[in-house]
Parts: sequence; C-alpha cells; structure tokens
Amino acid sequence: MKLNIRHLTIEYASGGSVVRPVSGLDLSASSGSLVLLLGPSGCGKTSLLSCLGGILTPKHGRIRFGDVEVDALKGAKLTAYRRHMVGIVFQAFNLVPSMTALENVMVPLCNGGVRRRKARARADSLLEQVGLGDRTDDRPSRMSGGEQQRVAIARALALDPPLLLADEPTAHLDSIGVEGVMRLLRELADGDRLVVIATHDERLLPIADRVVELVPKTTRDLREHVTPLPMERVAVQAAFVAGMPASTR
Amino acid sequence: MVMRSAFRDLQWRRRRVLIAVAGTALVFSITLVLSGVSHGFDVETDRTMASFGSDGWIVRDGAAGPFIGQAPLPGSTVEAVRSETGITAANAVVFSRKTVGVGSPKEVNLFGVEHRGVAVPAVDHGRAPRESGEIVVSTRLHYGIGDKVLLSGKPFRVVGTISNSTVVAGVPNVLVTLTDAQTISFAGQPIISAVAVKGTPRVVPPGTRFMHNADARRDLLRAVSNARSGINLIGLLLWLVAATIIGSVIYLSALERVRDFAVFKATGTSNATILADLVLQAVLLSLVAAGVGLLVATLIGPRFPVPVVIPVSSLVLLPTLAVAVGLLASLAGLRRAIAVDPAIAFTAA
Repeated sequence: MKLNIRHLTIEYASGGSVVRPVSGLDLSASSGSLVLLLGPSGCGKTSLLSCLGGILTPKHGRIRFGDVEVDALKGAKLTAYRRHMVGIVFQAFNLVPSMTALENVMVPLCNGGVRRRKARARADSLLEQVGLGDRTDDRPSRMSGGEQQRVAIARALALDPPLLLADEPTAHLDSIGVEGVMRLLRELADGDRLVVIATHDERLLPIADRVVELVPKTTRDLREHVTPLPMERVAVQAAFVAGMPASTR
Repeated sequence: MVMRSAFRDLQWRRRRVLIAVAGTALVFSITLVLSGVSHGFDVETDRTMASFGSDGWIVRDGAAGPFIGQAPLPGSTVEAVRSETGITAANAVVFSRKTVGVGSPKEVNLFGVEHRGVAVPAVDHGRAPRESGEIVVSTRLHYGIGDKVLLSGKPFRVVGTISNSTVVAGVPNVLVTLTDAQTISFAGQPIISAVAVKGTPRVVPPGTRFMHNADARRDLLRAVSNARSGINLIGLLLWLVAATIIGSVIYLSALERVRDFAVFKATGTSNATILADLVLQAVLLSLVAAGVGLLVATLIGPRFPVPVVIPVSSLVLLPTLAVAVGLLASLAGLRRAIAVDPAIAFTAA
C-alpha cells in the first residue's frame, strides 16, 4: 500500500488561538518501509500522525492510504479505518490501568469482532512476540516503561494493521528499553506494513528507511544530519494564526 | 469486552465503588422499608377488616365511617337493623382509642364486641371476651393469657390473644365486651359506634346509612393518610438521592477515564461501545446496591415499631427502578464520554 500526502495543512485551536503546525506538506511512502518524522517539539510531527490515524482532520490537502481517502472519512467508515487500517503506539503508552496486559491487547480485537477465545489466543501470541509472554496477567502499573511500550505495540498490532504509527516511542524508555523497541519496530516494518515514527530522538535514525525532517519555515539555520540514510527536509510552518477556524475530529 | 472493561474499572476503583454501593444500598433499603411501612398500613387494615367478617356497616347518617369518622348511634339501632330485609346478622361495635398499662401506657384500638355472631374477630389463642373484665389483646402488647391489664384505669384479665393484630400504623387492637367498651368510652351509656351487618339492607333505619367494607377500610386508613403521603414523598426523594450517588460515581469515572476513552476512540472503538461500558457500570452498581438494599431492608424491617410488609411489587420494582435510576444517573457521564476528543490520546500523560 502506498501513502500519499498532498498539500497538507493542519490547524487546530490552542489556548484561544489557532495553531498551524503543518502547511503545504507533500509526502509519500510505501509499505514495507519505516519512515521517521524527525523534528523539534511543535514542528507538527504528532499532528501529522493524528491526521494519518484519522483522528485530526486536516484544514487543507489530501491523505490517501491505499485506496482510502483518509481525510474524507466520517462516522462508521472512520471508526472502521481506525480499527482495521491503523495501529497507534502512543507516547504515553496509554494502556488501560485497570486491565491486564492481555486484556489491553484484547480490546481492539474484541471491538473488531474477533471472538473472545480467538482474541485471547491472538493477544497471547502478540505478547509472546514482543517478549512479554510471561507477563500477560500483569497490570501496567507493575510493568516498566519498556514493557508497557511493548504491550502498547502489541495492542497496536492486534488487528494486523497495514499502517503502524508510533509517537515518540522512546520518550519514556531507558537505553536498554530503547534498543528493544527499536529492534521491534524495525522488524515490524516489512511486507505489507508501513511504519511511521514521529520522534526527536536521533538514536532512531539507523533503523529508518527514510527520514523526513520537519523543520519550521522560520528556522533558517538548517543543520546537516550525519546519517548514512537518505534524508529529506520538509519545511513546515509553525505559526499561530489568530482568528482562523480550527477543525478537529 | 465491554463487560470486562466495565467490570475491571469497577474493580480498579473498588473503594469508591464499595462506598457508593453501601450508600446506595442504604438508600434503597430505607426506600424499601418505607414502601413496606406504607403497604403495612394496608395489610393490617385488611387483616382487621377481614377479622370482622361483615358485609357492611350501618353508621349514623353524615358519619365518615364506623371507626375514625364515627358519630355515635343509640344502642337500639341494632334491633332496628336486624329487622330490616336483607340483613341476616347484625351486631353492635364500639371503637375508641385508649391506653393500656401504667407508667408508660401504650396506645390501643379498643373494640367493644359481642361474643358471638358478626364482628367477633377470631381469637388465635384462648377465647373471645364473654364477661365484664375480660380482654383479648394483640400479641404486639406482649401479654399472656391470665395476665392483668389496666385499660384506661379499669382492670381486665387477658382471656385470649390475636397474633399481630394492629391497625392505624401498628397500634395494637384489644377486644372487650360491648358493655365494658361502653363503660370506658361512653360513660356507660347505651351508645355504639356502628352496626356490623351480614347481608345488604334494602332500607336502613332513619338517621343511618349503609357503608360498604371498602368505605369502612378507607375510614381506618384515613388516620394514616398524611403519614402515607409523607412516606411516599420521602421515598421519591430517596430515589433521587440514589440516582445522585450512582450518577456521581459514573460521572467521576467518566472524568477519570477520559484518556482511556480517547485511546479507545483513537483505536477504533465506537461511541456506542464506550457508552455501553458506562451504562453497564451504572446498571451493575444499581443492581448490586438493590440486592444489598433488599438484604438490609429484610434485616431492619422487623425492628420497626410499625408493621413493615414489603410488597412483592416493590421487590420487582426495585431492580427495575434501580436500572432506570442507573441509566438516568449515567446520562451526565455519557455526555462527557461522547465529548472526549481522541486526540487527547496523543498528549503527554
């Protein structure tokens, strides 16, 4: 599947003002690759992920993933897209604290119509895959940041989505945890799956097939990254635009 | 998974849930007991009315009833009624509110009755009063056969007991001979409160009217009508209190689970599923509270000084209303859950 982003502009309301973190972005990527969205805080990485995940509606532009016009989805079709096409690994892990690791992974499966027994087996298998086969009955509060992150990845993979989005996946991890998550994310970016990671952590550069640096237009002093990987800079406009309407889903 | 999610969250917040269940259960139990008290008024009245075995009553024209609303009749009315066509039996009855005992006297309903025929309540132990100075008492007074009782200062000997015979909000009934009742209530004058009859008269003696048992029953219940209205109002308020408790818990739960709901939405969980989760919590809370409330009501009911007869309708209605209360109470939480923006899932915890 191919991801195509054309002339994307994102706006949302914040503190009484309208923020436009991304303006006129063009980007494309194909399944089987890992794309790193790199840039400082506020450059629009997370907003871009939100749009790809069908959570934020862009102000202008088009997002197409496979044959789905993501920006045009509404209601049940949008819910189905979020459920079956996208897996999201959140920066704060966002596991449900009252549920065990297994149950957290089962949530999208059961909501996706998978029967309970099959859902349990699939969740077990995913937790095994992320190295947590012996922690299925533990609640998030009894797990380290790295372990929680791996549960979150297992949950994101539950329905085997073709698009995996990860927002600052290493933000709350120690160096050992970072290594494990990097290896896992790299492994996931194969076959029919496209992995898009938003981060400002340059330790992730080596695992990327492609690095897209989101740089505020106002920043003139663009420094060069020392990386053997192909990297492109996409200038985005991070600006407060007072009085403009925001559109969020 | 909805049920598991709802149940797990209740487990997670178990202290708060336990407090809410305890509070709501207490409210439900009081509501049940109050409905039992209100129904108890009916049950004791029906039991007393049935014990007379009459088809109707002859009362003074203009009187509101044979008991609370009585207007005394001359004793000779009985003979006049007996001679009317359609009447197969007729006996005089005297009713008044008196006290028994000294020191801390207890209020009683005094019935002066004849010893055979209509309006002679069945005695469970011993026999009906036949001679002056004999009395039959409700077991609620805790006297035994042979005990001495002071009724309005006049000594009586207990010759029989009737189980839990009460009327007018748990006030025990006592039976004495018609003559003794006239001595105590009407200074010995040959006056009666009403005439209990078998059959239906075509005409009644001048200055009297026929009253059906249903009207006589209403006459006895008139004494507790204000109390019943107050009880019903308190019951309504208690339902609102229960709804508030459950609503608070569900609303707090919705507030605290904003991130969970945002994640659910961001990962493709429909609004309907999230709402079902909250509704299920409200219903579970309500039903558990209703169950505990029923248990508490069963335990505390018999300790009430008035008869508490929890009607079957209330037992059916309680869980039904509890679910309705739970649903109503969860509305604010549901509105909050629907409004949750899935983009919150991307913000830092």
